[in-house]
Amino acid sequence: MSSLSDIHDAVAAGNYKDIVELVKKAIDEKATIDEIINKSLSPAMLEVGDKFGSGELYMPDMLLAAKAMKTAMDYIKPLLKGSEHVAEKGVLVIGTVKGDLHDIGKNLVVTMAEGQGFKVVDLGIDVDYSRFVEAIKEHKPDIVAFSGLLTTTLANVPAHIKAIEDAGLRKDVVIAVGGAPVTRHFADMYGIEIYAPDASSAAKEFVKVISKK
Amino acid sequence: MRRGFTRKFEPVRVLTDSQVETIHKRTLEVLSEAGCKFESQRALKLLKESGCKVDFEGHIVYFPPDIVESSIKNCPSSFLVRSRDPKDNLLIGGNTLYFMSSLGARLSNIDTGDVSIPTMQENNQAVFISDALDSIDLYSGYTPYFEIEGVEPVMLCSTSLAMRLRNSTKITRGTQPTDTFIWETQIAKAAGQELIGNMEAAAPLSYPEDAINAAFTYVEAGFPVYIAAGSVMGGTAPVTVAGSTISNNAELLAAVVFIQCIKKGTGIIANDFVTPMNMESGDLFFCSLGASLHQMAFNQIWHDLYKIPTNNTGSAFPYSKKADYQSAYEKTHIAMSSALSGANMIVFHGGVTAELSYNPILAIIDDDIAITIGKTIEGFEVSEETMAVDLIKSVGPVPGTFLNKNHTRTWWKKEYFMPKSADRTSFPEWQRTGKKGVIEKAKERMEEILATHKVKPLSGSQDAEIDCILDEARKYYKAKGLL
Repeated sequence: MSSLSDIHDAVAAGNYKDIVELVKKAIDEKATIDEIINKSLSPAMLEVGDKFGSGELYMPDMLLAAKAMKTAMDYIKPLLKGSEHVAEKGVLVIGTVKGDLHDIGKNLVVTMAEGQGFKVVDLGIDVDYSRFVEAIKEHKPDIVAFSGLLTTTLANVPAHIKAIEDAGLRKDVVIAVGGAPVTRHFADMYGIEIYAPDASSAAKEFVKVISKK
Repeated sequence: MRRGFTRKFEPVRVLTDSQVETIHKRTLEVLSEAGCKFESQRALKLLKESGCKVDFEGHIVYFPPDIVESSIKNCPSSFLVRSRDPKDNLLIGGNTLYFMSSLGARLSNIDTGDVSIPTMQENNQAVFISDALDSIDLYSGYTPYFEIEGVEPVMLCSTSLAMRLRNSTKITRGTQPTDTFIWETQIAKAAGQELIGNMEAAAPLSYPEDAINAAFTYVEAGFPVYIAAGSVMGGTAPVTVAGSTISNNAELLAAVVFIQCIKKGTGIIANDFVTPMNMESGDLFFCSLGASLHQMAFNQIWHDLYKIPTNNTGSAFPYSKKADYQSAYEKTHIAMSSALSGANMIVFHGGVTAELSYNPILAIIDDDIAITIGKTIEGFEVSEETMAVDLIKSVGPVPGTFLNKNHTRTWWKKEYFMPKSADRTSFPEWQRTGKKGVIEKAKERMEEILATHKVKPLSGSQDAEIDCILDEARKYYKAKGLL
């Protein structure tokens, strides 16, 4: 079906402007939601991810492809009927730690994680301790991820973890930490299960955690 | 007073006057139409009272062009910062170039590139060595290391400052995270030393509460302030040099207005640490061409138009993971372009591994490079004596020689720079004396510094007062659940 191949190409090219029309066209041609997701959107994202990994594509290419995929998924989700659902790999709650306004790294992780099929709850930047706790209670995530760019605001990570412990929720989540100044040693020091130096490896680590469950 | 280096010729200019004017006008447009976020009601009120338009709910300040321009004029084009030892005072601005020590998260092994968390002794030793290096005029904040064994992250900045003041008399910068400025201001006063305060934006166009509170504290203590934005081209700023110049200018001019509102006439050093994003990884593209050009344009605009002293951080962190050829060329090309384009300060010595490590041996090697760069901008003397026309006539053609002339004996020492760590031996001598390269010679120099250098100590009461302040800081952070 040519419309499925057009959707694939649009994601690969980062064409988020035309993707909804292409999805509509595919639906008109009797393509199922499952086919659109599993024969067009997901394979396209996987290919983009592989090409990024091999150096053939770069960050802007990947982000635009993810934008196209998200645009398509945002259109598709309300169309799902009754028992149909988009299978989620897991739930991730993520935010930049209290005191830090940087979010490039966090946004890259969000993109990569969504590309891997995670439902992502993005709390934004300068997130207070209590907001992470509330988000855990509400969304029951598999993974809670703290992002930070400044070595000095990472000093707040232990306080974030303490707030989760005090709420009795520590055992319910796997904690991840990442950002330029973060190290494996830092993660080990505070009992953090996942440390990732960049967005791409973060998403891979998340998938590993889910597959062990 | 520290001499630094004096630029004796016009700086290199990468922009035409018309381009400078256009960039400035479009910067004013961004400030008046997009504004800048200030995450502090206290700051919003102050800026409102000073004539800016403020959206209190969205925390956005819109800056009228006339307020921006009058604030620029209120900044001194040069100012003095006093050390506890007057020989290390700094006169910042004008045509003077100072070098600021670089820093890193951890200690790099000079031979293997492996990193480790430094001990307190290693930290203090690195500061001591920097104190001995002629071309290091001042320190950055949390220098030399972001992490010190046994020091909790939240205590790092204040502890690091205390160690710098104990092991050196050179001026240093304060920092801004997690209320550390409260303690750093007190520690500096206990040591009888002025600090350069710190106010760093979170690009794009935002100032977090920490930065704002830091500015209030440092300005009210009477210290000048180092302002920075550190945007990433293609991430938190436009990917183009021109676009990111405008966004960075807007972020910094917002800080200029704010600081002048706190106290008119406060000295400001404007830093450029705008870096392209490495599109292969999302990382910063350290020591790149884009960073170099950005800094050159920045220096021109802030020197020619705003007359506010500048610092350039682009040369602080090479991408290379080792003290090798790559790290040398990365740092040198960008530091040279900074110096030639008129920077008043350049962050340089000792950093490696893309901001993640530092080594004092590298700082010793960098001392030679910094002096070479500094002397380049001092040019050379053109006078009757140096033109030596009478000598040329008297020596005449072959077999004439200049080697046995008083002029040569006098002037070679003035005009040459002899690097202390570089190898200058003949090949046979190099073989005979152990085939030492620059790293081996820098290691020898380090041992010599450790054996012979002296630092004016703090008094017993100053030391004790600093310890009390650090104890207070611990109690404060413990009460906040951060310790």
